[in-house]
Order: sequence, then C-alpha cells, then structure tokens
Amino acid sequence: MNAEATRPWLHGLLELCLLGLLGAQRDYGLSLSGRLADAGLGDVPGGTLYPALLRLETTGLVRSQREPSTSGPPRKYFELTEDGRDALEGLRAEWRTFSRSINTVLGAEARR
Amino acid sequence: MSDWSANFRHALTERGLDPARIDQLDCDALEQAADHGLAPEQVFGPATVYADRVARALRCPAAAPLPAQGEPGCALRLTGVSKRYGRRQVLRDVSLEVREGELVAVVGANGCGKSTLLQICAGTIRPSSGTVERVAHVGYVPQTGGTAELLTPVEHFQLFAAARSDSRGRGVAIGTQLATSLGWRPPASQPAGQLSGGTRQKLNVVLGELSRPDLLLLDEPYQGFDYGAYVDLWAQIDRWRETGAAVLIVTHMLGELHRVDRVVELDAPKDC
Amino acid sequence: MQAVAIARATVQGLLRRRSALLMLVALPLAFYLARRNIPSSAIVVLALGVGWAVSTLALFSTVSALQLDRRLRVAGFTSRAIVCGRLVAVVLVGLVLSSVYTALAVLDQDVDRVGGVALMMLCAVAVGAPLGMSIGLLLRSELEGALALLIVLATQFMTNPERLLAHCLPLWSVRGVADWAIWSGDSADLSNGLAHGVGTVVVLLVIITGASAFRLRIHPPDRVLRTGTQPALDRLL
Repeated sequence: MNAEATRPWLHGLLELCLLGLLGAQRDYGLSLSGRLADAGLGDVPGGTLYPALLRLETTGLVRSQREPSTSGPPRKYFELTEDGRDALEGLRAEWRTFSRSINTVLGAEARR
Repeated sequence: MSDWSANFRHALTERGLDPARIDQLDCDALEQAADHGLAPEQVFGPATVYADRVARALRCPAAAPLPAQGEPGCALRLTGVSKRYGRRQVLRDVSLEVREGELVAVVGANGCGKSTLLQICAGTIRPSSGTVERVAHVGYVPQTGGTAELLTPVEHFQLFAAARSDSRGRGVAIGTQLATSLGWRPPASQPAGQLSGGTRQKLNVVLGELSRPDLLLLDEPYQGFDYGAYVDLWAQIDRWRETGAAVLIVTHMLGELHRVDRVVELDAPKDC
Repeated sequence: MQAVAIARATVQGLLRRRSALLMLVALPLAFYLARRNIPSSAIVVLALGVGWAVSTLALFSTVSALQLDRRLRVAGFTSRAIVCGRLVAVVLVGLVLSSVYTALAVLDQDVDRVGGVALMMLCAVAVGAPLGMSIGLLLRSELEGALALLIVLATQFMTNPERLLAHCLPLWSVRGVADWAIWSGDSADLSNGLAHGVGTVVVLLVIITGASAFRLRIHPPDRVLRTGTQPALDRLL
C-alpha cells in the first residue's frame, strides 16, 4: 500500500477507525495500533494515535480505565460511552453514503 | 528517557495545564512507551511536539454551542465607505455586513487598505464618505502597538479589565483562562517587550477578547504564530462564533478561508 | 475606576525603566551640585531640574503610550480617564522626587522658608507634568518632543528672569516663588509667582484637553446596532 497517498486520508479518518475498533472490543493503545496494522492501514505512530484517543475522551465519546496488567506496567483501556456508540452508528451511515459517492466518481474500477 | 519526560512536562506547563494533570499525562506516556517496549522519543516523537498535540486534544470544546436565538442580528455594517488621503484613494466604495455568529475575512493585495478598513470599523479613523453602523461593545486586535512594552501580561489584564469596570482579579482570571485556550501561560514577571513575537501576539489577541465583545476586529492576528498557535486561534474563533460574537478578520494567509462565512476582497491600490 | 487603572499602569511601566529613572533622578542633583556654592541659585536650579525631569517623564510616557491609548479608547476608556490617569501618575512620581529634593535642600542649605522651597518644587511638578504631556500630544514623537522641551527649558534656564521672554516661559513660577522664598520675602512676589503657575497650568490643561480630544478621538458610528444575545460577560463562563 502506498503510504504517501493514504496517510492524509487516514489522518482524517483515524478517530472514526478508533471508534469502530473500540465498538467491537475495548482495548489499549498498543493493541489498537496492532489491529490497525492488521487491517492494512500501516503503522500509526504513537504521537498521532494517543492524542486521537485523548480527543475522543475529551469530547465524551470514549472513556478510559487503568487496569493492572500481568505482564508489565498498568495499562489504560479505552471503551465507548453511550454517546460514543451513537456517534459510531451515525458516522457508519455517513461513511457508507460518502464512500459510495467516491466510488461512483472514481468509476467502476474502484469498486473492486 | 528522563530528558524526554522533563521536556514533556515543561512544554505542558507552558501550555497552561495544571500540575496534577501533567503528572497523569506523563505517567500515561511512560507506561504506554514501556508497553511498546521503546523509548518515549521513538513512540511519540519529540516531547514538545507531542505536548502540543496532547494539550490541543484536551482543549476540544466539550460543551454544545448555544442554540441559535432566531434571526441573528447585524453587528457591523459598512455602506459605500471610501477613504482618501489627499489625492490618494485608499478605499473605494466598500460595503460589507457581519452578523452575529458570522466570520468574514477581508483579503487583498498589500497596500490595498485592509488595516485602514479595520480602523474605520473600530472608529479610530473617519471615512471620507459612507456610513458605519456597529454594536457598542467592540474588541480590536491591531496589527501593531496593541500592547505596552513595559507591562507584564497580568498587568495588561488588570488594565484592560478596568475598561468595562471589571474587577482586576476577574480580569486576570479571564485573561489567564483565555491565554490557556491559545496554549499559553502568561509568565509572571516578563514585560511584554521581552516576550517572543508569537507570545506577544497571543497577548494581543487575548486583550481583544478580554471583555467578551459582541464584535471582534482582528488585523493579521497570527504574526509569529507557529502552526499549533494558528490552529488554536482558529479554534478560538470558532468558539466566538458559537457564542454569537461577530468576527471580522484581515488576513494574508488564505489557507483557512473554507471556514469563513464570507470573503470581502479589496481592490489593489491604483495609482491616482 | 478607569483613571486609577491608567495611573497604576503608568507607574508600573515607569518603574521598569530603571536606567532612565536613575538619570532623571540625577538631573536635578547635577544642576544642584553645579551651583551649590551659590546657595540661593542652587535651590532654584534644583527646583527647575525637578521640573525638567518631570516634564521629560511626562513627555516620554505620553508618546510611548500613543498607540496603546488608541486601543484603550476602543476598549472603552474615556480620553479624560487616560489623560488624568497618566498625569496623576507622573505628578505622583514628581512629588516623591520633589520631597526628596526638598529635604536635601533644607538639610544642605540654610533655608528660611521651608514651605517656600516646597512650594517651588510644587510649581515645578505642577507645571512640568502637563508641559511634557502637551508637547507629547502635539508632536507625537520622542525625538522632536525632547528637542522642543530642551529648547523651552534651556531657554528658561539661561534667560534673565526679569525679561519678558522669561515670563513667557512655563517654569517662571518657580523663579517667582523663589523671589519670595529665598530673597525678598515680599508677598507680591509670591502672588505673582503663584499666579503665573496657575495660569500656565490652566493654559497647558486646555492644550491637553484639545490635543487629546483630537489625537484620541473615536468616531461614533452613524448608528449603534443592538444585539439580541446574552450579556457578554456571561458567555462561556
């Protein structure tokens, strides 16, 4: 995947992706980073990932909890709040419409 | 590792966060880095940059904007305003309107009279022709000469608070809070003349909004701002709009014009 | 009160210019030391030096604040508050200076009328402050203002006080009161001196009122619009 083209797109969508991941399962920073990489979105640096999580927390869509971990220092786990779930639903629908429009504009090729 | 941590803490202090919060953030960062099994520098990048991002992430407006109260009234209206100095025509027949909650940008080439227009809006210059209508409570952020070189930021707050009979303590409290929104903590004993250009300009902006005016006039407000301060200022402008203040901004930097409600362009100066 | 805030800010700013303050304090002392061997003359030049220092202080604090003053006007300060506040601040600093120097004169010289010396100093301060401020408002430049002040005050120094020219210069009241305090004791001299002082102060205040109304004017809008939203100070707090 060409990181140069997709990095700016990912920057705009990072919070949406995090909402999606947390919607599926509560998680901590390192693991979220791994799940993004597994999904093919490349390596999101900590300097971008953690402030995004902080922003979600400040706007009330996500809450965090410290939990002692068996292997190493305590970890900060993130999970969606009620507002977060509502926001995720709404954004999912918006994304569906938006990506459909982009696909239309790019032509049939893009839909593969 | 301790160096990164010290830089991080220092940068957060500069941005006006309180010590308890800074401890918590530093602790989190070190734990998260330990999780990744790398040094904080490698996970988060340079401490000052990361601190900037973290501080801004914490400043997102959490409160919902005030509900719109019917048709927004007009806060500023210029009709057919012209200004000439002798034979030199600086402004020709300019009309514009700024309603409550709106952001209007004035753009144009150098020397086309943008600052003069703003001074006419503020009332320090009289137009040669045309009418000016505005609200009573105006905040003005001039391009130069807006701050006193020998006064500290806190002394500025105390002085400007007296303009509308606010108590000095309240002025300082509000001023410090507004400074924090721009990512800045007023240093205790440095007079404005010794502040860096960008910080002094932040003081300039805070003084303009100190009394929570209904109309804000900004003349090239981001001189000397780094990218972080520039972003903070636009976030602050959005907050003003949400509370119903009208904002008129003179600007060279055309990058953020998509956030603006309307753009007024002034003609380039003609040789008379 | 607005004027109080302006006065406070002026004093805070003045106290930060340490080296300038030091030199202004030294100015009267230098004059005094130059004429110390001629006692009657020494006190006069001491008082004139105080007047010189105070007017220079007033000039520079006025000129350096011109741009800020405009902004303060837009922020809601009245020009009366700005002028009064600044004048009061400079006069206060002048009074401190003059009390120190009155004490010096009384201790160092053999003075009959201590009250007279104090009165001379008072004239110097009361005339010097508005003198510096009016020059600052009229000329708006530090260099030109300082030169104008220099012309006026140096001429005052060097002119024979009997001449008409001396009577036309602002600090003549110091000399007039000195005639009474140090030499003659003739109360006509005292009333002449004080009359000149009062008259000069009145003229200077008229000039200041006119110049500040012009320099610090805010043109009111053709129509004042009303807003429908909440009072400003409650927003977001």
